[in-house]
Amino acid sequence: MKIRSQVSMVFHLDKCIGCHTCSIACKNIWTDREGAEYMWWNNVETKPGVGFPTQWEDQEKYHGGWELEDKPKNPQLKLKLQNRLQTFANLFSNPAMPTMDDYYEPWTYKYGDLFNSPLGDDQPTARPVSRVDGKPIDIKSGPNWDDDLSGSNIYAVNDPLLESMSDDDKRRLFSIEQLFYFYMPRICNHCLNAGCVAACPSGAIYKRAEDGVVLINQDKCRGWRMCVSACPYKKTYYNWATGKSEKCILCYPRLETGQAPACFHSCVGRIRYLGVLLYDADQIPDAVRVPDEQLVQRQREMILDPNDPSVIAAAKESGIPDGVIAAAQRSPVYQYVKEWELALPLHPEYRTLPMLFYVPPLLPVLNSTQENGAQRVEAELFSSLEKARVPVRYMSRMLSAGNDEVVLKSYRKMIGVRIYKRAETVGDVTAEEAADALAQANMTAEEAEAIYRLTSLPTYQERFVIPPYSREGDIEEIYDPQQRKAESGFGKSQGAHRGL
Amino acid sequence: MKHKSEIRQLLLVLFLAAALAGCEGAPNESPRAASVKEVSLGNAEHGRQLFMGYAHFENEGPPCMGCHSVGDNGILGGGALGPNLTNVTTEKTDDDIISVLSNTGIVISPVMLPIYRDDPLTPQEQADLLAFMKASVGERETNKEWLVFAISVAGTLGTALALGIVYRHRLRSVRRIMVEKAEKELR
Repeated sequence: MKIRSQVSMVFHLDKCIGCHTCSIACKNIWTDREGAEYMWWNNVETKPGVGFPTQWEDQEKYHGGWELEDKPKNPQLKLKLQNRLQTFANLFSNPAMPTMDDYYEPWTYKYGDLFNSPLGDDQPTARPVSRVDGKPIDIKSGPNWDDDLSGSNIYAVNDPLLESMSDDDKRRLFSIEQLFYFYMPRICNHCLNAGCVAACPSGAIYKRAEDGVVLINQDKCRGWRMCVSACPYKKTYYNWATGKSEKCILCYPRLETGQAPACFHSCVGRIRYLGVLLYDADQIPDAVRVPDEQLVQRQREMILDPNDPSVIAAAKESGIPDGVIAAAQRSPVYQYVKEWELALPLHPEYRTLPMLFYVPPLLPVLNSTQENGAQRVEAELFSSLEKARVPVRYMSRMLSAGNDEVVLKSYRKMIGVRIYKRAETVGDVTAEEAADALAQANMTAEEAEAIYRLTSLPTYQERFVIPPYSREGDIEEIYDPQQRKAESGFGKSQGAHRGL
Repeated sequence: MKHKSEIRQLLLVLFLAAALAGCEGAPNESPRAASVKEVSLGNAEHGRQLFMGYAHFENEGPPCMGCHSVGDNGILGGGALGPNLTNVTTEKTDDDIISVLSNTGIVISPVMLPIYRDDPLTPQEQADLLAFMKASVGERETNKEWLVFAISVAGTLGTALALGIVYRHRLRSVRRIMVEKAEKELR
């Protein structure tokens, strides 16, 4: 057992209001630079919709992620993009690159014209100009161009997830009063089996040992852009100004100083949770080679119980500091992913073992109007699930590689919690009905209460359990900062001496 | 700091290498014109070999065909930078030609002087070349520049076509095609 720690995330889609505050927070800190204008390390998509870049989920086009060899005995994993020889052959012409048009051409407005125009009969306007060549452009698309456009017969209808759905389900998605949408915020998943790392010809991408953050070494990157193609989530971006690729760094400078990443910190709906997961790295090769429908279950098995004494002993043996183990024991991510099995990985079928998990959206509020206008929660749990506007099939395509049962299990629990709390606070559901709902969801009242508390009433410290980082302390052990300080500057200064 | 000193070392090595190369590149021997007796012993066939570059000049000078043409010079013809020399012996005296070839005397080509200054032709080679040029008088002058041009164009197009076939499945556009198709269906 080789135990490693991973700073993981949960996004609770039921709470996301699609305000894009996370995207703006990230943009202002990291990508407000020349060459990075079009990058959105964090973006929010409307589902059903085509996303950013357009139809990124269609790997027949973009060739991202891994695929299992098509042979019955001991199939191996290989990049969908290309093998090593093809990497070499395509080094100067990567054939699966999204074009600028598939992202969007970044633009700004000529605000100066509003103030500097000569006196005339017409009101001056600020024309849009490209931020690439500075010429006026006709804006054709943007990073959230199909925002709220569910039911659109240009965008939503081209959602790659709809392909395998039945015509009946599709019709429901596009008929009035039946259509639905929800938001899906996306950042880098900091995968355990990242496609970008495997595809890089320069070996510039690596996964940090202490927290599993996937980073691109800007000194080593040669801008071949194989990572851009190989990442199935399209979360590495090429900076045309520096000639290097960049990606979400999970705000590691903030993590190292005990702060949540900017997008987490700024989240208005408080949908984001961050915490440490301990996992067994030895299981990765097996976990990525199981059939599609077992992928979620297998990924959960890799994640270990941080309260199990044998796991703690093994973690210590693997060099994981006590502080990190303690953080893992308080991790909200562990509860959502492993304990309650509510949160699911995005597109596990790409086999990159993404470590960002989503709690599926519970839409719409399952109630029915009574004669007197009052609303009553549907206590008939499973019939209401089948009547739900979000087809389970759609969610399972997205979050469980097509395994409906995994998504249903998560939904049953969420509905169970809702009915249980409804009985407690509103009282229009009887205690027996609530108990029945909990039984059908296979959980206890304590668990329902815990889910409710962490979902609705978490404090900042409960949402973000950031492990202690000892980077600066570790450096101090071999290099005395006071001594270095004494070597620089004017005059005489007396460095403090520390004993090791 | 470490990089800087490495670069300095590299520059030093390069400088020394250049200096050594310069020593080797000194004139092999002082140029000398072929005498009348030597001219009479010229071998036209060997002259053709030298002209075309099949045989090397003793002092490793470049073959004449790089710039000149005499009669029919193989598939692609000779160079077009210098004048066509097919009938040069009827227009110039032997002395003038030897003067140009040896870079001595009254007539000196300002273009050929720097090329052959350090790699002069031996008297025997000059005589062979003169004999070759004399033998070529009256041959049909060929101009194959168009062929070179045509091959260049065909090669460029062929390479572009080959690359186009190899990369025919590359991703060209997703959004534009998707939107155009959807709009067409709506119309």
